[in-house]
Amino acid sequence: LDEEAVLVRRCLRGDAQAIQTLVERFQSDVFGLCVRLLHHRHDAEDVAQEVFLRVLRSLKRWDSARRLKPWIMGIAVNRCRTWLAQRHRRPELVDYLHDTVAGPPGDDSAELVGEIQAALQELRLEYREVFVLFHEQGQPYESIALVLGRPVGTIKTWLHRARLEVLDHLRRRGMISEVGYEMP
Amino acid sequence: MKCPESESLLQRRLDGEAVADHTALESHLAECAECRDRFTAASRLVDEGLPALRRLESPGPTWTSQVIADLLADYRRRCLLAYRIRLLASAAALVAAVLGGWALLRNAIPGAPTQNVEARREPRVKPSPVPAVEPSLQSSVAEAEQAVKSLGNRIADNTVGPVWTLLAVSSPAEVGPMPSLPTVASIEEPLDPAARSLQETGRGVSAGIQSVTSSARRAFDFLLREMPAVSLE
Repeated sequence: LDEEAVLVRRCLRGDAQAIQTLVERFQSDVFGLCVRLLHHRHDAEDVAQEVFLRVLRSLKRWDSARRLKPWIMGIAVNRCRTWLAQRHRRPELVDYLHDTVAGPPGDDSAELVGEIQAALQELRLEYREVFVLFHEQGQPYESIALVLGRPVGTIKTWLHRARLEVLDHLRRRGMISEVGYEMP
Repeated sequence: MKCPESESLLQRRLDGEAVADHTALESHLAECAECRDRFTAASRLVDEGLPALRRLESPGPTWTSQVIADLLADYRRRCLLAYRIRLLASAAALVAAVLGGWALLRNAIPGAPTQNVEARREPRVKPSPVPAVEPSLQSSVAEAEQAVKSLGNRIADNTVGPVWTLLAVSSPAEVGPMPSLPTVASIEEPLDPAARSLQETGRGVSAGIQSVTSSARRAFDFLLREMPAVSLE
């Protein structure tokens, strides 16, 4: 926390090196979340840039008693929600799926990854946020609760429902026919 | 084991916890196709799908540098805006202080044109036995005016000078040459005894607006100290 507070103070003074450190430290998490929630790479780049702009402008309001990452990810989630709401209201000519990051070419798991992504797109936005934060970014329940501003119990409920919907999607799409379940 | 218990174990497995009750679960999965399919899908999700999804997404190669440049430009814009607001506020405070001092001085002078003040102060002012006081008071008023002007000019000189220097350094193309301020005659002429009260009044006014001028100066010192160490475009 002290190290983060020092970094924030340097950013508030306009230290270019500190701003670069801040961006490089969190860009993967922020950009990855934006890609998964928006399902569009170029939109994700725009929104991630906007997220860092808002982070820098709001750093004075950051509570130094909290971790920096959940605070930044909360801003990212809110920006993605706003972007999605705006995207629904405007006509779009771009095929979003074609501009999305695809799985590794020739990889056996590419089809599975594609189906998981399709399943995520069918989820409610809150379920998708929780699923991405937990399974892709490895954040614990408590951290996700801070990011989304909801109780831990609600986060668990959302994640459980999201998993069941994803698993049922995989079942419907025949992604379980190749293997049978083996007890770990 | 029933389906809800099986689903609970499934969630624990997806949370990364070990599933302990193998025998009961296996016997349930042998009977329930839906739960068996879910566990099979969960296995694929955990073992194959999520590791592939977890690989870090990275933006384009120029994205990071572009974002950092935009953030720094935005920071500079906000600094410049805050600086201009502070400058405007300081100038407004300065003008208010000068006008307030001038109004205070006019009201404090005996024989000033304001009838109400004259009437209010009349009982307290002792009549002077020397008839030659009246012209001396007029000259004292003129000198007091000059003193206030001199004080205002000095404050303006001390305040505006560093600002013009800063603006000239930051954007020489936008800022013209520094204007020369009008010079004011020295106020060190000896004052006659009748004008001492005016001198004291002037000192009082000076002391009154000293806090304003010192605040303005501190604001500019703070501004100069807090300016980012980057060149303004």
